[in-house]
Amino acid sequence: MRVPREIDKLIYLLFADEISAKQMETLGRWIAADPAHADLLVQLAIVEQGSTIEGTREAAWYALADLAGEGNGSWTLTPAEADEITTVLAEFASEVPAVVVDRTEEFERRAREKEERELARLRERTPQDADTSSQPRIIVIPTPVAWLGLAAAIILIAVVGYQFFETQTPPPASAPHADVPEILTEVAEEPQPVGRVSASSNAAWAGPAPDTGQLIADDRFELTGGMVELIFNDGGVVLIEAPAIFEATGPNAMRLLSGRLTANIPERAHGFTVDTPHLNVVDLGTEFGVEVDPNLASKADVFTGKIVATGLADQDDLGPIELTAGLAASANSRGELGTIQSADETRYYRSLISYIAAPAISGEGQYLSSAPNDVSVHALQSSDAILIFLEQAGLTWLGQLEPAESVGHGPAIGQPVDVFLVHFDPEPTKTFAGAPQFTRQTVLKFDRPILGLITDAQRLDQTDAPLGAPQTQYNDYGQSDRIAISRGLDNSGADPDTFSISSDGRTLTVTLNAYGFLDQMRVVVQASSP
Amino acid sequence: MNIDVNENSSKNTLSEFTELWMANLHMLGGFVRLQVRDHHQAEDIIQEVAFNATANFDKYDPTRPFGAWVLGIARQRIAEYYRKHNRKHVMFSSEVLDLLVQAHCRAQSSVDEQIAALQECKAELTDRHQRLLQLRYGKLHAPEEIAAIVGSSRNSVNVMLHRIRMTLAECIRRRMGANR
Repeated sequence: MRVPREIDKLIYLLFADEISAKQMETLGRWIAADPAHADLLVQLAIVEQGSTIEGTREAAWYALADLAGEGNGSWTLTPAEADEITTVLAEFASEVPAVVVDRTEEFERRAREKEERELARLRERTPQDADTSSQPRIIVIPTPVAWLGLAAAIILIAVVGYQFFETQTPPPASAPHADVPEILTEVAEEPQPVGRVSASSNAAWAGPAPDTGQLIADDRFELTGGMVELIFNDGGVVLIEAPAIFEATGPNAMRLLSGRLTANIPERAHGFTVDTPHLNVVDLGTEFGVEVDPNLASKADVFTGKIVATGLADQDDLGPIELTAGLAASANSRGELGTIQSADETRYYRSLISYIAAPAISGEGQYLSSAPNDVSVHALQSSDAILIFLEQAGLTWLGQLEPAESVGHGPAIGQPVDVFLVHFDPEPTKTFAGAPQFTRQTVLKFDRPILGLITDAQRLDQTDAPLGAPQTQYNDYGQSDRIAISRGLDNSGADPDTFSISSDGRTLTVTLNAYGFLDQMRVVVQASSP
Repeated sequence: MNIDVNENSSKNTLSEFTELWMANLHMLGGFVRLQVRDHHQAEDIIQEVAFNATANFDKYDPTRPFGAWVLGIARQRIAEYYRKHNRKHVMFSSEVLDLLVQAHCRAQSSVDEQIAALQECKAELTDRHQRLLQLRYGKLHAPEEIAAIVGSSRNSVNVMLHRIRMTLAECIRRRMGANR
């Protein structure tokens, strides 16, 4: 059954005990609209009850122990009376052969253990008052007759609940009030590995510093430099870019407290969860990014597949929303989800190699963390910066360059190369005539030799398929020739596009003038070494 | 010694009552918890229902569904509980409660199947979700206590629990559908 988002929110509020009268009315109308809606509520109640029945039995035992021991109420029993009641209950339990499991010893043991604990506490506080055997004890039942009825009800619940689960769950071996020790035990448990660092580049850490290949457990990590790739035990692959603070909380879950990550989740790891201070994201089979500014907001961008994002606000607009490819949602500092936006995949590194291969950029240039979906004319506009992105990494060179495009000796056949696109498409560019001119300059400094440059529009078109990013849409060949031709660098006129390469062949300086259409050039460099 | 405060009741009556009670315990517990979110308060009410039902079992018409009868008692107990505690509690309208009682009674015939499906569905949850479920319903920790244990916020825990419940409900529906 598909539950509308607003109803899902109301159900959430109902179970969180935070629903208002008006919201209850709305939920009631939805329930009344279709018997299947009431059935869903019942099913959720069964989920809770089926998960709680063991707790029900425990709660009944606690109540029973209180009856036999002490409680907070108006009825006062002497120790002898309390012992008598315990005995009566035990006798009663043993008298019902058909359904009642004899818990006499357990009743007595629990009551004794509780009393011993209380005595021990009293001895610690006031040794002279340790002997309390003559003190009256308090139980909660208003009259002895009513007590019998309620005791019967309690024991009935206890034994029925016990019998129901007797074959599924062994009786607790420890004292019933062992909550605190159990919690402490959990905290003290040795953390189990939930994944490992599968790759990294220039990673720097504050605090725990896992090396590549090292297993990671439920711990907090602060990445101060570089990038790491984590593979979680269930198969999820996560790229985290510095600076970031994160926790690997389980084999299929993590928390991002600040910074940016990209998660690529294979089918077997569906359900991968990312918690942030403002947002919760659950993968439904996808690749997505999450960005957190701890003081401002969290954002989730979906690249492929879909996710469910939930703001953590304690407000009415809280509610899980499903986001499909190309969509994004943000939650503000109060954890309130905003409107659905378009995803911005260029802010996220979708591969470690895109980070490793990136040149150092200065001037008016901006490196895109991943190849955009579309760089055809007017599809990706920026007046402020020349955009650069990695199209392919480690491509085996098969001889696609013209001699004039080679730098130095050019790439050798069979040589691994990385290919980048330089892209400048300022706005507004509605018409060619009268559009303002933009001039931007950037310097790209590679740590390896530049091997070739493709600057001609037709040659760019011809090399889109072999050298371009597989997922990127390049110039629309259905458009006019003028638009297609305008794509390359223009070396003529009063304001030509210019470029130069440093003497060591590793630094490219580009100055681009754009009137109305985009300028692009392709840069081929020696492949980086991961 | 007899469990029932009604002097006319017999052990056979007790056995009969216990059998009916056991068969309807999940349904009753679910019905109460849907309206009373605090676990201990819900326990109190279930105990009161048990007390009331045992005390009045001689008035129960065995030709009528026991579940509907005991849910009727539960409705009264819940209303009285909130009146007595003078709590400004938001409740379903009487009409919606009627629909929920009917839905619970519809579910009664397959509740054991659903509980069995639930156990299988819980096994499919991630370790983290299973742990959350265990902390909330096994160890009866409040969401804020769970948040402190797992290093999260109360809201985050509530959201996760909501998602887990919805996932389990969907899983149960899927399994029940597959078995038919």
